[in-house]
Amino acid sequence: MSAFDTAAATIAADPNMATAATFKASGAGPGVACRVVRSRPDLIGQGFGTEVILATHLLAVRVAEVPEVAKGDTFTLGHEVLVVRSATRDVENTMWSMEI
Amino acid sequence: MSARETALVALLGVLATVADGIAVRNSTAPETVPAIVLRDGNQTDEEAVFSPLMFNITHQAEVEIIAATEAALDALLVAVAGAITADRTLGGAVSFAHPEAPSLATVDVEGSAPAFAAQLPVTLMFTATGSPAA
Repeated sequence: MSAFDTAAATIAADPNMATAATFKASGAGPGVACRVVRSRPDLIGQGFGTEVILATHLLAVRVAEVPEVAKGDTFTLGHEVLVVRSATRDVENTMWSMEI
Repeated sequence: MSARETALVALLGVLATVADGIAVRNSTAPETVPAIVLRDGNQTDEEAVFSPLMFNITHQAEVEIIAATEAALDALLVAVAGAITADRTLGGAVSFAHPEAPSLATVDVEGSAPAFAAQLPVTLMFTATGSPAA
């Protein structure tokens, strides 16, 4: 296990950083228990000369817990069902970063 | 007040009748969606008329509109164009106001659903006395 895997596992285990979720490929099937890091900052986008505030929603999950994520897969957090719009892995292939 | 400023203030007044008065002029701060921003733009043509001396000015302002969906953007474009064409003199401030075809683009940041932007040129024709600057 690399230092990055260890760091990711520590973050995922931390109750302040991550929350429990259930992953379902294409929103169906039995579901895989995992821990996800949720990030929802407002960011500023630009259309022509006008800047606008846009709400964002990102999830991160360890590749060790969920090896494959694709568009249309879902994460259930409590009563919330979040549908993945896109998923990319980091350089170390440790974490998935997903747009919701 | 110059004829140009009179025209732009009148155009902003017309824009303020659309979408609960969200329209602002030359904003540089981030706006919330939906947004309507009037950019002053540039003079595109002038024609001198003598005896008495005056100038027929063509000025192109830009109205930038950002909405959450394509349908909402289209509704705002229709509303803005309709408000301008309802009184093409903008209450007497110009001789003719004309909304042109808009440019369209998406606004995207990582992790966000896209927003939709339009840049609507509005041609303003008016007469200045003295000089085109006045």
